[in-house]
Amino acid sequence: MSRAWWVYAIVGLFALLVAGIFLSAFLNSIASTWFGGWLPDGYTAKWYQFALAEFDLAYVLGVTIFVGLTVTLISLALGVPASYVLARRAFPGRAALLMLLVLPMLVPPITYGIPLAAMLYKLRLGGKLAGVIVANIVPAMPFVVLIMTPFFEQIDANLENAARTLGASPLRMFGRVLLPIVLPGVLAAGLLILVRAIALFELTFLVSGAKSQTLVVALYYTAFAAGIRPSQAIDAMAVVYMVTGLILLLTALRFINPVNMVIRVRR
Amino acid sequence: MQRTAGMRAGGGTAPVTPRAAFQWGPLLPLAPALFVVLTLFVYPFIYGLQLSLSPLPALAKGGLLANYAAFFGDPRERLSIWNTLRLAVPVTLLDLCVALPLAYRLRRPLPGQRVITGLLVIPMTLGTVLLAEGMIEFFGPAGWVNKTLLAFHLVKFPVQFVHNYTGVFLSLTISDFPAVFLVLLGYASGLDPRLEQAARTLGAGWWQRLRRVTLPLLAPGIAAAAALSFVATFSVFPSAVLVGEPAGSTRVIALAAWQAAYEQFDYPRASAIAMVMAAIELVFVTLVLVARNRAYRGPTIGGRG
Amino acid sequence: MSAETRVEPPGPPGGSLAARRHTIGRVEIRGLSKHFGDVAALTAFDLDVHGGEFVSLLGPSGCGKSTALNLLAGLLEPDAGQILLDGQDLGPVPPERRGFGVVFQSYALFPHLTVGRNVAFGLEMMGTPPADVARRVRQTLALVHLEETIDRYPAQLSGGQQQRVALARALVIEPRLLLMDEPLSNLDAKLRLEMRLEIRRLHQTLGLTTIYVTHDQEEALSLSDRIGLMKDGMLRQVGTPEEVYLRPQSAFVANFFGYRNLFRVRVESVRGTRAEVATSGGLRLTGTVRDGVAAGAEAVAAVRPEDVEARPAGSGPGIPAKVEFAEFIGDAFECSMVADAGDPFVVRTPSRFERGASVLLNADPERLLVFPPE
Repeated sequence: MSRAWWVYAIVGLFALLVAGIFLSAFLNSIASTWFGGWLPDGYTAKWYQFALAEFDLAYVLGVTIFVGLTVTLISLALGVPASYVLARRAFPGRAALLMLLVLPMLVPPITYGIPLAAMLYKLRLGGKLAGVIVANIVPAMPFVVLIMTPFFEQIDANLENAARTLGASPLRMFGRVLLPIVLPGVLAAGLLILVRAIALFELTFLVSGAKSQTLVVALYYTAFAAGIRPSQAIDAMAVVYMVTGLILLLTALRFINPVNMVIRVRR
Repeated sequence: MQRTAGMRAGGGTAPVTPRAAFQWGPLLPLAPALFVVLTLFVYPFIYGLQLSLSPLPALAKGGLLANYAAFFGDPRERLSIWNTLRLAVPVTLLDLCVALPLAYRLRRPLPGQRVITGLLVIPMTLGTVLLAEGMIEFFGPAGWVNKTLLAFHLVKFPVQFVHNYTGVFLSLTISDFPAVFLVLLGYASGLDPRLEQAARTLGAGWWQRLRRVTLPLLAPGIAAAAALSFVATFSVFPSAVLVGEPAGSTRVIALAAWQAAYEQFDYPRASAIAMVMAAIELVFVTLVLVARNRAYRGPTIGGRG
Repeated sequence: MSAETRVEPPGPPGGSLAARRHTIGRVEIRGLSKHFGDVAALTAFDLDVHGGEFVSLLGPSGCGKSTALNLLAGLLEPDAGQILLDGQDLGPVPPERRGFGVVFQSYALFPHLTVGRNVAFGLEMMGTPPADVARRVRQTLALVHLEETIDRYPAQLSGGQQQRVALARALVIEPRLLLMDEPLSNLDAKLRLEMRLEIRRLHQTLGLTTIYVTHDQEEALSLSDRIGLMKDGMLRQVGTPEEVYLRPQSAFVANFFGYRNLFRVRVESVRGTRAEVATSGGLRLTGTVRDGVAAGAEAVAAVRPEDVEARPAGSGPGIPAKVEFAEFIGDAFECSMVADAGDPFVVRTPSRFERGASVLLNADPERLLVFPPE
């Protein structure tokens, strides 16, 4: 349909912009030097090796993935059952409870982040991996609830009733009927949560110590002190970060249609 | 005398059946999530609120609200609110204005739809630092944008896009867009096409259809996207530092809070600033909800009982 | 008239709901065709509708009736053919300027507007002065007995009420043509009956040319001046209710109107309008032929359950058969029978037969029709 040319134009412009930004950083990360020409003067992989050594990139990446996975799993474990109950049962105060569970996403992390950090330090969790994980669960779990509640609502309640009349106990019904249906959605949602969890900056920044930084925070520190570090090395690290996130996002997009991921209020 | 069954006292002889007690058992799976929210969010939040009302000795003579007074009393601190609003509001508006027509058009299939949706959503993976670093190079004086502008003689000297307001504005626009787009796409896809067809048969041209049918029905989605976008952009922090002027025009309120906490070690005042942030965001979200309720009441699925 | 001007119905300005019969609203459809991909949804559709006439398009799902309606409304572009309204070609006229009243199957009421604003919508688009809008909305809502809902929202109404609002919204603009797409199919049986009477009453009062799409033959029979039967995108027969019911022109139409007994037969002989046919089981039947049926040819024989008479065995001539089971349907029994030759029959009879009983079947040759095969 040629009448939708403007869609392609806008998308094209946007993609061009984003590609340009990414490529600039990427080319810089593989450039031996780049003195202001259109392209780098020479190419090398040494900045990645530099980042690996200097920034302990492998360790930070490990921390990031570990934190991300743990946060995701715990948030799913907490949020999925909650979503199920919220979707299926009507009870007094349901709307208020839903609002409460989703609230941490709507409020700037700094509002509760600083006292939360203080609290975690008091509990001797500050600066440690456990503290980072605990802090990141707070905004991640609402995201689970936000996505999974409409997901459960869309599943026909009669499926469960059918299983029950055929003799399945609630636990078996959940395992053999519900879980297989929601599993793809849970996995896809989990991937999105993982991407978000890795990207989350403020809380980790407030809570982490030198040995428990995630990639975003480590990146920030090195970039902030950029005068001393070569920008190519920083870019190398940033590229690694983006590629990780990109792989996760594209995997998630293959399984779900973004259109279905959005909550719509049901009356 | 008439026999009345049920709960009338002193009347009938039928037994009164007790109302079944509400079953709280099935709600048990909610408990862990609720516990987490209460201990890790509500409690710190209240603690932060209380902290903000207990100023450090240096300010204590100002009473409970000394921290707030100190914040609003200092012109430089006050300015941080304006700096942040100056960024959050235009970015939200721009992203809404661009995402809305796109989402509306993309609710019906288009060739290459998944590719397009994917492309628009990828910036979510970029991350603040990559975006910032990339922008510094892409938009820098020796970067491709300026090179192109100079090559086409559109400017005489390289334009400064980064390390100022423009840098943060661009960075936020790009990183905020995917979320706004996804929310609007979700709502746009829920529009019943028969409603627009009905409006056509009743004589409504495209502009009237937009104004009288489509936009009112999209109002909840627009409100949700606006709220989400504002909350995210108003909390801006790393980009304000990396591609902005943290000491000047892009000294955002989050930065003010951070400095109070980690440079001046005045946690109470930092909490106060954080509370101000939350309050402003709450005011904005409330305004948006009020505006949306005036535009529309009811579901977006067509009038079928 | 240029394509830019609106199709305005003539009549007193401000409009009253007086009857205007047979004066305007003549529709001529010539060779209308539409396909989607390689599926031919509508082929060579020809129909003339007189002013004030109520025509139903009747057929099973997928027969193209809704496609025809959408083409008339202008919501779809035809691949070929012409639509003329009172002599004016509607081809270049977009739906917003055709001035037709359309009632959708899902009602399509604007959920964010009250009933009153919904009904007023078309008038506001036409630029009618507000005082007139208010008056006409009230009048039309009174016509469908919904005045008290004027400030409620569609979601607060029942299905039947929503349907009437959709009707009012289409009627208030005094359209030259009223198009209705299976408006009653979402209602329960009792409501459907009530609404059918409403629609009939409204048509008699207002006299609007109406094209009505349905799959329910009872609806079509009771409402229409003429019925057009459709199958696989083509019009198969057009006629008054009596014509299509009593004189179906094909096995498809016959089957639609209750000729539940259909047999593939071979024609043995033809004499005038009488034919002798034989079923696959060897049963010999006598029936009335339609054109196109010759001796030796394959054909389809059709007869109604109520036109087959069943008598106890041993009481004269007839086709021997056994009763499989009988259903009591209130004023008669509908019995499934199997002829000894093997052919199944559905017979409606006032008398009760035991399961397994032997009977003799007879059918009036006038009522047994023989058609060319489909």
